[in-house]
Amino acid sequence: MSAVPARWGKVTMALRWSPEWPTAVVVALAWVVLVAGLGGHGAEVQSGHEHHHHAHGGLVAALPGWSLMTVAMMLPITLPAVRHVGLNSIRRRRQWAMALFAGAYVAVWIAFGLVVIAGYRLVGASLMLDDRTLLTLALALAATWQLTRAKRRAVLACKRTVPLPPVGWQADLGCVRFAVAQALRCVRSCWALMFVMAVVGHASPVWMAVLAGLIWVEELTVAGRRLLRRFAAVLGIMALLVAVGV
Amino acid sequence: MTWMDWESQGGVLTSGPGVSSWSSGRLDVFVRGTDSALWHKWYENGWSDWESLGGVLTSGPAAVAWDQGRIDVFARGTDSALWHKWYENGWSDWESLGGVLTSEPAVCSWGTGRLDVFARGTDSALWHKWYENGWSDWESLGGVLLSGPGAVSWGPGRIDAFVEGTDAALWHIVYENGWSGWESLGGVLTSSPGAASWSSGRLDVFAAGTDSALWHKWYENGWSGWESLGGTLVSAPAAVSWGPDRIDCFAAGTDSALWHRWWETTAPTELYVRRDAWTLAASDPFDPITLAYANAVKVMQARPTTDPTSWTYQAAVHGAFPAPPPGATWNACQHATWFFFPWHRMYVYYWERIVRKAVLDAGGPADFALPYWNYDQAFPRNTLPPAYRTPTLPDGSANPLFLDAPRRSAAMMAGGQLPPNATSSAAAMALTNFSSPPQPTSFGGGVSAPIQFGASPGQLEITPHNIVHGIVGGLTAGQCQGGLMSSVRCAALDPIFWLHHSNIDRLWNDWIALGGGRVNPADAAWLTQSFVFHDENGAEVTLTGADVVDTAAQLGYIYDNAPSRSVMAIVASQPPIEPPPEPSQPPELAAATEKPLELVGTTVTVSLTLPSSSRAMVDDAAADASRRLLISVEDIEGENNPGLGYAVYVDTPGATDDTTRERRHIGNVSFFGIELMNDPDQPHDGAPGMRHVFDATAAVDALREQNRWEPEQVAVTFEPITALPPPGEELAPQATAITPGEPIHIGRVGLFVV
Repeated sequence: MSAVPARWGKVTMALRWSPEWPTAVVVALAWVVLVAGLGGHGAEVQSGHEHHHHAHGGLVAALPGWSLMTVAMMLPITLPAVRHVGLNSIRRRRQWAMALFAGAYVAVWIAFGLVVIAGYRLVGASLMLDDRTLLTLALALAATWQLTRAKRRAVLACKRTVPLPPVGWQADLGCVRFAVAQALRCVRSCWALMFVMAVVGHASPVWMAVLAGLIWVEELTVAGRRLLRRFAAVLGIMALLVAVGV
Repeated sequence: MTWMDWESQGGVLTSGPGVSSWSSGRLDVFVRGTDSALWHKWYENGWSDWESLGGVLTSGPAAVAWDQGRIDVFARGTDSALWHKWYENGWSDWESLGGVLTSEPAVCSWGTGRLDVFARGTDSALWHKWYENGWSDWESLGGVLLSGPGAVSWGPGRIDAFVEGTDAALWHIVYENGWSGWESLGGVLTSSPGAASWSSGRLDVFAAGTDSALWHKWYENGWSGWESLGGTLVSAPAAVSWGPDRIDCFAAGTDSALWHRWWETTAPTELYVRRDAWTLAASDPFDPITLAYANAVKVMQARPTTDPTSWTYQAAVHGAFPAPPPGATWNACQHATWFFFPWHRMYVYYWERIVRKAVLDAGGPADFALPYWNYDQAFPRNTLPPAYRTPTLPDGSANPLFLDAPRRSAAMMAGGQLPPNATSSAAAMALTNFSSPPQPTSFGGGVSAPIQFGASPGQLEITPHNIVHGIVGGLTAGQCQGGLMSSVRCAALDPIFWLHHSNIDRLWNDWIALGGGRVNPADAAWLTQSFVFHDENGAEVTLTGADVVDTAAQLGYIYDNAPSRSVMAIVASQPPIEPPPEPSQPPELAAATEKPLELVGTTVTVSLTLPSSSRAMVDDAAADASRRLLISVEDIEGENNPGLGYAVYVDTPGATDDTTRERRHIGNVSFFGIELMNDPDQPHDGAPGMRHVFDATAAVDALREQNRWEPEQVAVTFEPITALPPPGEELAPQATAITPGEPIHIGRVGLFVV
C-alpha cells in the first residue's frame, strides 16, 4: 500500500526538477498528431514527378502543418532553455514565463516558415524545378551549411542564455527577448535542415524523424558539435540518393 | 597499474586460446596446434615449453581451474560434440559430453566441484550444461549468437556470460538466483568475447574490434566504455585473473603465435615527497630541488614540439592555440567538471615523471619531487618564490623559471602578495560533498561527461585555483603574448603553473583527510573514466579516476604537510559539519537584479529588491538552519580573462560597518577559461556565459546577528581582487594599475532559496 505514494513522491520530485515537462508533453502530442497523419497535407515530394502545386497551394494553408512540425522538431532543442526559464523565474510567474518563452520561440519559427515556404515555392516555380531536384539541392545546401564556422558558432549559441529580470513587464520582456534570441540563433543553426523539411513537407514522419534526430544530437549533446562533419556526410549521401532516384 | 606490452609466447596456433589459473602466479594456456591436437603451456616462475595433450579438436579450447591442482579443458570434437579432459595429479583421457556445438565452448567455475559450460547450438542460441555431482542436460538460454560465448564467475551462485549478438555488439546475460534477460553492452565485435574477474563485483571483457585490435570493457559499480589495448588479433582472446588487479590476456597474432598482454599493479617503489617551495628556498632561492627543476625546464624547452616529453607539447596537453599534430591529445584539460581534480592529478603526475627523468639524467637530486606553492600563508609565502622572480641562475645563465611582464603579472613579479581572499580554501574545504547536483555547490565540480570546460566549477576550483591563475598571470593578450597563467591555452607554459597545481592537488588530499563525510565519488562514471597522457619515455599511458585516489599507494608521492595545518585549523574552528540534506526541489528564485552590469576593475554594488511574494520565503529560510540562501552570478561573459577576480560580498544597502566583512565574503568570481566560452571549436557545456553559485547563508546570519538584515533588499558588492604590495611598501604605479581589458558582463545576480 505504501509503494504507490512513494512512487508518486519520486515522480513529483522529478517533475519539480524538470519544470519544462508540460512543454515536453506538447512536443509529444505534436509527434502523435503528425505520425497519425492528422496534421493536414504537406507539400509531399513525389519523387520523379514534376508538379507545380507549390505555386498554387495557399501559404496560409501550409502554416498549421509547418507550425506543428516546428513544435515537434524544434521545440525539443529549446527544452533546456524552457527549463532555464522555469528554474530562474519567481514561483508565481513560472508557468507563465515558460509559456511565454515557448510561444515566442515557436512564433519566430513560424515566421521563418512563412519566408521559407514562400521562397522555395517561388524558386521552384520560377526555375521550373521538379521536387526531386529541389530536394537534392536542399540536402546539398544543408550538407554544406553543416561545414561552416557559422553553423558551429550557431550551435554553440543555441545554448546561450539571456538575463531574466525577476518581475513585472521587464520579466515578460526578458522572456520574449530570450526566446527570440534563442529562436534566431537556432534558425541560424538549423535553417538549412528545416528548408529540407519545407520541401519534403510535414506529412513525412520518416524525414522528420531522421532530420530531427540529427538536429537533436548536434544541439543537445556536447559530442554533437564534433559530429557536424559526419552529419554533413550523411546529408550529402542523402542528396546523392535522392538525385539518383533511390 | 598498467597494461604491459604484448609479448610473444611462440607456437603455431590454429585456434584461439583458452586459459586458466589455479593460484596467484600460475597460468595454464591451451591451444589447438597445426595437428589439431590440444597443446598446453604454463607459467609458474617462468614459462614452460609447449606440450601436446592429444585429441582432435575442431574448435579452440576453453579451460578453468576450480581449485589448486585442478584444470578442466573443453573443446569441440570431430563429431561436433563437447569433449572434456581434466588434470588432477595427471591428465585424464578425453570424455564426450554430447551435444552439437557450432562454436568453441566457454567455461567458468564458481567453486570446487562446479563447472558451467556454454556453447552455441545449431539454432545459434546459447546452450548451457553444468557439473555439480554429475553432469546436467543441455539447457537453452536463447539469444542469437554470431560466434562463441565467453563466461566467468565472480563468486558462488554468480555467472556472467557474454556473446556477440547478430548486431555484432556485446550481449550479456547473468545468472544469480535464475537467469536474467539479455542486455546489450554495445561495441562492434569481430570475435568471440573472453571474460575474467578478479573479485566479486568486477568483470573484464575482451574481444577483437573492427580494427582487429584487442578491446576491453569492464564493470565495477557500472560499465566502463570500450578501451583499445592495441595489437592485431587473428583469433578470439582469452582472459583470466589470478588475483586482484591482475589480468592476463592471450590471443593468436598475425604470425599465428600466441601473444600475451597483462595488467598488473606496479606498486610505487619509491615514495617521493612534494615540499613547500618556500620552505625549500628558506636559505637559498636556488635550493637543489628548485635548481634541478630550472635545469630540467631548460632541457624540456629545448626538445621539439613533436616530442611528447617537450615543454610545449606538455603545455599543449592542457591547452594550446596551434592545431595538434596527428594523434596528439591536446586541449584535454578538464575544468568546471568533477574530472577537474583527477585529470590534473594525472597530468601533473606524468609531467613530474618527465621532469624527474631529466633531473636524474643530469645527476639528480635522486629524491626530486615537484614542489608546491602554498600561497595561503603570511608574507612572504604569499608572494612568488624568489627563484621565479630572479632573471638568472646562479651560474649566470638565463633562468627559465623567470617570466617578465606581460607574461606574468607585473605586480606579482614586483613582489606583490596574493590577498587572503584569493588564496583561502576554507570555504571549499568546509563543503562535504565532492560533486553537484543535488547540492547546488560542491568541492570538486559538477557531474558531467569529460569536457574541457563544463558548466559547474567546484568551489576549490574557483578559489584559490582560478583566482590565483588570473592574478599571477595578469591580463591576457594575443596567443600567449600576455599573461600566460590567465589563459587556459598558455597557462602550463609558465613553470609556476606546476607548483600551483601541485598545491591544488595537495588540497584535494587535505580535503579527504578532514573526514566528516568527505569522500571521492563512488560513481563508476568517475572511477572508470580514463584519460591519456605520456610518460617519461614518451609512451602513451592511461589512468582512470580509480587509479589516482591514493597518491602514496598508487602514484608514489605524498606532501610534506599532510594534511595542511592551516586549513585544518580554519575548518576546525567552524561548527561541526553535518552532511547537508538532499534538497527535495531545485533552488527557488527569490529576487534578482533587473539590469545587467559591467565589471571594469572597480568596485560595483548591485541591489536586489525582493518582491513581496518572496519576502516571507527568504525570511523563513534565513531563520531556518536547515535551509540555505544562495547568490548566483549568471551569464558572465567576456572576451578575455582580465587578469583579476572579484570578491563577492553580501551587504545591506548603504552599510559602512566593516566588522563582519570577512563573514560576508561569500566567494569570488573568476574568469579562467572565459575566452574559450566564445570559441565554437572548443568543447564546453556552458555556452557563452559562466555561472557561479555561492552559499550566502553565513553572510546573512552575520547580518541578522547585527540586526542589519533587511529582507526587502539585499546588496551584493563586487570588489576587484588584485595583488597587494609587500608590507610597508608600495608597488610601482605600472604594477598596480588595473588594466581589465575588455569589460566583463554579468547578466544577472540572483538570490535563491533552497
